[in-house]
Amino acid sequence: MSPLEDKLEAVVDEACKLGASYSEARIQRNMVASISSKNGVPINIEENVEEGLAVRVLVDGALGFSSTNNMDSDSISRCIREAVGRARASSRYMRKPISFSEAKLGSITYEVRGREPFDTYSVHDKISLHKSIYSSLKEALRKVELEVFSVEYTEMIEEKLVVNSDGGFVRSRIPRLAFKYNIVLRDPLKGSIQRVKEYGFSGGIEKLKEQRIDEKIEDESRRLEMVLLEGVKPPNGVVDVVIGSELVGLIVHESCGHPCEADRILGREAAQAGLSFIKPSMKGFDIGSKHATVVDDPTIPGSFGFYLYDDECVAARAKFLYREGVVEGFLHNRWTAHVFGVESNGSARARNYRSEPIVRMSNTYLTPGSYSFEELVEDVGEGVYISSYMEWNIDDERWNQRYVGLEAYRIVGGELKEPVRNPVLEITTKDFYSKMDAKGCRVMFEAGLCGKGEPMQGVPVWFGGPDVRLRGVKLGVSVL
Amino acid sequence: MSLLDISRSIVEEGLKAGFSEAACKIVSSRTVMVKFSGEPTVTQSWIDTCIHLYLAKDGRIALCEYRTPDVERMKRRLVDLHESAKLIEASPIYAPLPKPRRVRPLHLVDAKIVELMDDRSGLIDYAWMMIDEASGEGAENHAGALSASLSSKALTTSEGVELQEDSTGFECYLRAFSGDGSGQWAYGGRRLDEYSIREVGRRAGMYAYLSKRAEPIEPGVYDLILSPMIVGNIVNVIGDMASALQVYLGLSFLSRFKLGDRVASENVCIEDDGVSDNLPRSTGFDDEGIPTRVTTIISDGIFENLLHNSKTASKFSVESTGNAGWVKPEPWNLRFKPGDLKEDEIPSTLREGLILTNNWYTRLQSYVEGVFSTVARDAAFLVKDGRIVKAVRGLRITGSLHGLLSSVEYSTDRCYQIKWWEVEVPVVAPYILARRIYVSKPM
Repeated sequence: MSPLEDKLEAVVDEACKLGASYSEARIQRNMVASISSKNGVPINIEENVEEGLAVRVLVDGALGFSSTNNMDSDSISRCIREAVGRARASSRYMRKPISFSEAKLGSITYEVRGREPFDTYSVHDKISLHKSIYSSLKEALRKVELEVFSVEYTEMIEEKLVVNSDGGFVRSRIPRLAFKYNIVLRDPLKGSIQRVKEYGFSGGIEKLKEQRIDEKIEDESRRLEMVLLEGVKPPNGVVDVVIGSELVGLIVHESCGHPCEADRILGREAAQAGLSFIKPSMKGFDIGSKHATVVDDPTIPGSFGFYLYDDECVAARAKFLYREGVVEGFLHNRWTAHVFGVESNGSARARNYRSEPIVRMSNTYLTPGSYSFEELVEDVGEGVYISSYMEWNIDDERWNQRYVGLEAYRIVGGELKEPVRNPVLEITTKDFYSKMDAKGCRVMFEAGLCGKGEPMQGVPVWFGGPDVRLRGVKLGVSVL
Repeated sequence: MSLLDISRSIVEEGLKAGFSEAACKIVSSRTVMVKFSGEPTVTQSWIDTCIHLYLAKDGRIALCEYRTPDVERMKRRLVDLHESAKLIEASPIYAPLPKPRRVRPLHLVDAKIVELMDDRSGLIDYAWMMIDEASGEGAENHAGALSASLSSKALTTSEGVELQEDSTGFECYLRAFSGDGSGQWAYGGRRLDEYSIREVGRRAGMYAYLSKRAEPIEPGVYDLILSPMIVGNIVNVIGDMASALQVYLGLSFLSRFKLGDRVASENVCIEDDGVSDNLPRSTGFDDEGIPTRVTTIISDGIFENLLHNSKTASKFSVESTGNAGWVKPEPWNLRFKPGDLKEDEIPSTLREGLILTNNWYTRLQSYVEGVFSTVARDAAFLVKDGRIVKAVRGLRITGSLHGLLSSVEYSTDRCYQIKWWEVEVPVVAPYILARRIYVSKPM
């Protein structure tokens, strides 16, 4: 046993000796290196390292969490006493003591290895990608001014060792990579158009290369130039809408993934990230058409939300949240699983050593159908295709939502026509899934940091899906 | 070793590693929090030390943030970091660290908070005091959080700055529920203020009770009364966009304006306040050792200042406003100046309009144009002919920041210190009246 493991075992034992019926100790190290640039010139490089101990306990039915990055024995003892003592003090206000479900816990070590680890390339090599994209954008954009091209390039390595009093032991190491950019195009007569987008993966730098991000950004910018210069108002009235996979992924994340978080359903996040339109008894609720099948799966190789065991040492797995138009299941940790009388499905995640593990999504997506993009469009008489978006939001029960298209086109007689500017899809969750009558055959994923918890924890996730077609939607238009 | 000794030694290591400039800020903190939803959901505590480091050579900038027990390993990393920094070009915003200035100490510690943190039952008892207030107004259920903190900060720079400051903090917010209604309120300060804690409970409970039977209304153009919670959220967006770096990076609607331009109605004054003793992020000095101050961003509707550190100040040919962040200037606490309207006169200002008490999820279609929407949350009321007619729900404010600011006609005479999940930078704000704002809902 390594000294580190020994230390965690001792922490778990000590907490139990102090009266915890369950205790869990986690050492987590997050290492982040990033480069920020504007127009291909680096503003700064940055390196962040956070490493410390987290202790979580159940005492007299109350939950306590404490963390420290002072790793001397006095500080560790104090950390344990804080977790136990404060949990005990709060237990007198508990109406329904907290319990955890029984679970088969892992005893395992796993690691993601990139083919090209981050140190394969120098900072100079990495910044050259920012420069080459900027140069090609300047070359490609002939009719509008490229006002800003800024980039945040980030490498992350997350190392965790979790040990708990129920026998769980999980050691993991996951490298992740993110590339986020902001582009502003400007025309003296037409104004401006802005795009902020993020790519993210687990693995090494090869993931960035495989995506051919430089080509994608250049191609998209040419199209946005056309949207800015030639975009017209979207059609008024009820039309069919083909929604591109980028936006489908976001809608699924917001209107299925979040409301299916069991802790949210139970009200634990009511004052922060909010509630859910789904109530505990609504399993089986009719949410939409047969195409409404949504899965959350942390085990997708290369995904931004990848993990194999959660932070309660429960094995990760794919979960159906909506299945063929019906609410099928929820995201659970061991507490919510106990309340619902089910097994945890391994959805407890903690962002860093300062964070308690809470119920989170991982990679959430709408399953594919069988249509090609052309087939989705060819049956539309009058409609709009929304390929990408900028503005979005949703109410805290995850019912009433709004998305504003960025790159979008009119559809007439089954063909894509001129670009349209800022079409607004303001729709309820039920309407979105009910009006869906066809799905594309190819699932694409987008990356993001999903926020939840107090203090806020932003965890890496993918959200995805195929292109879909909605029938009979009333579109609006945003000011600009 | 004291924090100042450690920060001094890290600056020396940075210079030894080959950098020509170094600044080190160390924050050692202890925080406790109670989170509840009907009952305590978790009690949390953190004992943490964070080392922030700025390093520069020939205009190249490296930043570091280390939360690690292994300070010696961190020091060894500085040599590698210097090698990496050599491979990049000079930063387009580089300017040297400033020379030391005289800093006026602030009184940021409340002994009652220190005592509270040592009492393991103390915070949770305050939580239930707040909950009882909400229940007294008719609330049936509650969720929220309270937290208290004690921090020590030390700053050393290679230009000779050596400064230290201790502070306490207290934050609480409560969301109360009654029937289908809900209400939320929040408070943040540096003192333990029982009146404000009780008021959070009372206001949240009152709004929950008054909105327990809410009905949908039609979308359209309405006059809006926005509560300090909403003003706080919107002013957070504006405060971030007032950072000169955001303007430089094309992430601010203020990039479309020049200083001296009208960006709001004459009833809008927004300022950044780094010096008021009881505001949660006040501090005597910024990360470069420049004394903080009150900086007016918008005065009577006129765009007066951006927020600067020495680097952006040099880029924009102005003086630093004492808002470093070594690379990104940050607001300390934001303030929307009050007017002279009494709160009980609010409904009488509306022939037909809405009172919105909270919001969340503010997102932008374009940062440079300031086009946004935000979702109304919790209690909202329809007012006709100066009287509240009914509670309403399912609304969203849409428009542009410039348009919203230009439509402000009144603000009330009392301000509230707001800080919560959706108001990360504390805001001192009144209720405001904005005329003719578009309110949307699903069609």
